Amino acid sequence: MNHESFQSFVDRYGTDESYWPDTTEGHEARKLLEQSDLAQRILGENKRLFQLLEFAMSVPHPVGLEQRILQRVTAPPERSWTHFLASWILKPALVALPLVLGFVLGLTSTDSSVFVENEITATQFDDHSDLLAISDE
Amino acid sequence: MKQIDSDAALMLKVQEGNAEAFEELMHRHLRQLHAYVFRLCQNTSEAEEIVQEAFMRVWSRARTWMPKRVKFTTWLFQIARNLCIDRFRKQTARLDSSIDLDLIPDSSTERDKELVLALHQVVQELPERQRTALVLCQIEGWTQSEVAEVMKASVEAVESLIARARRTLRARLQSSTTRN
Repeated sequence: MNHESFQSFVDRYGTDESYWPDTTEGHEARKLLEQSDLAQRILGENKRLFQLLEFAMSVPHPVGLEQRILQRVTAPPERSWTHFLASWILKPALVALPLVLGFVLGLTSTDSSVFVENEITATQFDDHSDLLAISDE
Repeated sequence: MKQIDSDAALMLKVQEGNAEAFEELMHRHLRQLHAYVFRLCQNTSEAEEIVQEAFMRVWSRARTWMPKRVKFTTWLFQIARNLCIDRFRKQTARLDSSIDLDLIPDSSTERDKELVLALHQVVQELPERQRTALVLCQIEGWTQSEVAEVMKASVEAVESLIARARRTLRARLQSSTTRN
């Protein structure tokens, strides 16, 4: 392992040696670190960089956040007039709408089918004897 | 002596609607989750809203958590990460964070303070996946396989994301040092 691949190894596995893998590459990195001043300097610089990174990513304390979440969880569900309107009038109305539409359509279509049936019946019982008489002549 | 329940045991109680178990779970994980979310979105109010929404989902969708399939913390961080990504997509998240230089030890040099400011800027410019991997692995100390679970990626992919993020940080710092 050379110093370039050592830097690449540190990029992948970090500066904490306890996280380094127990592989051939890991053993080579540890060996180089023992023997080379440059490898130790590379590791040292990386450690310092990532220590500064922790400061760069400092986090503000979330004041009162826990209480706000708990309040939302334990609060009873909202029962406003819009909620009442939606759950007791609007939703049942939406469910009933197809039924009502079906009923209305059913009524109108029954009228037309009766008319057609009447026509068929009328045709069946028509007296065509005059037509037969003409053809006999 | 009071017995300390595991996260999984507490979640089973939460699934039955136990608010005390929920409170205990939240108490355990809120700070770490908030730190993670804040580091991703770099916005104080957005981070608090996302954390609040994530815990509300834990409460309302507790029954969808399957203990044999995924660890509670992995599930929680997945929820939070998805919420962050949604905000990034809608571009509602706005970076507004400033750095608290008081947190840097007094022993630090002016040069260190400049580097911290530069790092703060560079981290914000990293792609979301690289930032997530870097934050969880480098700052929070998670293992690569834990990060892979949260990100629903392979360990190799996480390894590569972290390596790229670290390389970018070093390169950008070197270039800013040379410029100055």
